[in-house]
Amino acid sequence: MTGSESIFAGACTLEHDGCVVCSDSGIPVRVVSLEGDDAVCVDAAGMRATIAVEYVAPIAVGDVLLTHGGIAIGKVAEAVEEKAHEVCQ
Amino acid sequence: MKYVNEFRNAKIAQAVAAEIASLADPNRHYKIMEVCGGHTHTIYRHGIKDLLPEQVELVHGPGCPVCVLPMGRVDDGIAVAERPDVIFTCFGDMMRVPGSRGNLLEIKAQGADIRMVYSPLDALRIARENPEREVVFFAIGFETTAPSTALTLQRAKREKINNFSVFCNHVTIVPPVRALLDSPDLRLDAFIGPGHVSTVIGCRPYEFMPKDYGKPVVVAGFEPLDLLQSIMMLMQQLSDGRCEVENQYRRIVPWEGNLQALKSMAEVFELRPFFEWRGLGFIAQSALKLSAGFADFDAELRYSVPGVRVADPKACQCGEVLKGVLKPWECRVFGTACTPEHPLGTLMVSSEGACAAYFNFGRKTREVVGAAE
Repeated sequence: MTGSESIFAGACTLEHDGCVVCSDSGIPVRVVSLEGDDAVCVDAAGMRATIAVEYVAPIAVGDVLLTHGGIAIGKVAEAVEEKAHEVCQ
Repeated sequence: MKYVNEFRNAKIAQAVAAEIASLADPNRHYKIMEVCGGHTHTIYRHGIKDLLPEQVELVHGPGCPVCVLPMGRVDDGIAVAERPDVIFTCFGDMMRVPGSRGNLLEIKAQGADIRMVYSPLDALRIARENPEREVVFFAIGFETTAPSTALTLQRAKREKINNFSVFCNHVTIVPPVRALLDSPDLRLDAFIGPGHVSTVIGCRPYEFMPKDYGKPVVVAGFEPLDLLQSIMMLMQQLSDGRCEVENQYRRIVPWEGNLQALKSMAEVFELRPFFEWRGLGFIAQSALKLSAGFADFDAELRYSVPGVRVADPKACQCGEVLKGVLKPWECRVFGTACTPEHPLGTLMVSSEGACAAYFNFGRKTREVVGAAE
């Protein structure tokens, strides 16, 4: 995923996520491949991790997910550009 | 980078700040609480406080689960971690939280097998790889983190991994906010709602705040413009005489939350009748324990824990800071006996704690000088 997508969903990466127990440290990642209930995902820094994706199913390669504690808690891929402009207007 | 520029654009920030200033009544003082520790850090890292008019005060809330964990629970975790048959796993931030006999890092140095994990799923993997050992995961966090514990326990049950258990300290966000609203020594005008908790629980749980207490809420994202826009939305509500829940973080937070995660949590957890919060005391139905269906994975049932209530150090004023009654620098040990290197209180331990934010981003000097003047 790109840095621009990362900042859209939060500035954390898989390597640096602030306080993991805190409710705020959602990490945006892009799905690279699917493996059953898990997906290999990549963050803005290019790091890869296996993320559990049951809670955001169905997903596809290319989706951007918000992850926390090794699981995906939200999908953030839809209408990124449009919404980003909306926030900043 | 396009969105970096947009979400941290100084010109837009100044325009939003000007709008906030124009909405602020010069004869009124506004107290707005940001519930999340992550918001606190954005506010200080990006100097948002300096963009706001004097009459708009930001108050830091109890939204850091490490910070609100009472010392007795840390002692309980240490008691389990010291068992020779146990591999004890926890998130990194928990390692330095002081109990009455030291922290987990010190107990690890004394020989306990304590391992830092990024996810409860890592703890489950350790259990899978060490069938001859008992693996315990120290679960802590609000509703953003609780789904990962729920999902892990469902997988453990499905795979029949019986040497895995969870010491559950998950808490919920709404009861402490209600406790704050009921607190007689705190007057708040509005709330900045937690962004990523709301990804899971949605916005509906906050509806009691405008309805029962007359306090507007805006669920906010974590970039500087997210927070500024949220403050502007709250000021618009106050200016218009409106009082409702609004969602600034619509690009991430669905109004109804994540229904799959909520369903999973409902299966795995049930509410504790009450739970102790540092600084806030016992709050009814404010924490989670494992449900009867997952009792076999409950470390509190599997092992005997002391369960003793331990008072905070007398000098420590984390409680008052958590309630927003004191600013961090007003604590009598801030920056002297209590620093990030040698913390007395949890607010200085956690990277999301309000005291750590003040200390790390240099707020101490200016505000102490300001106070002295």
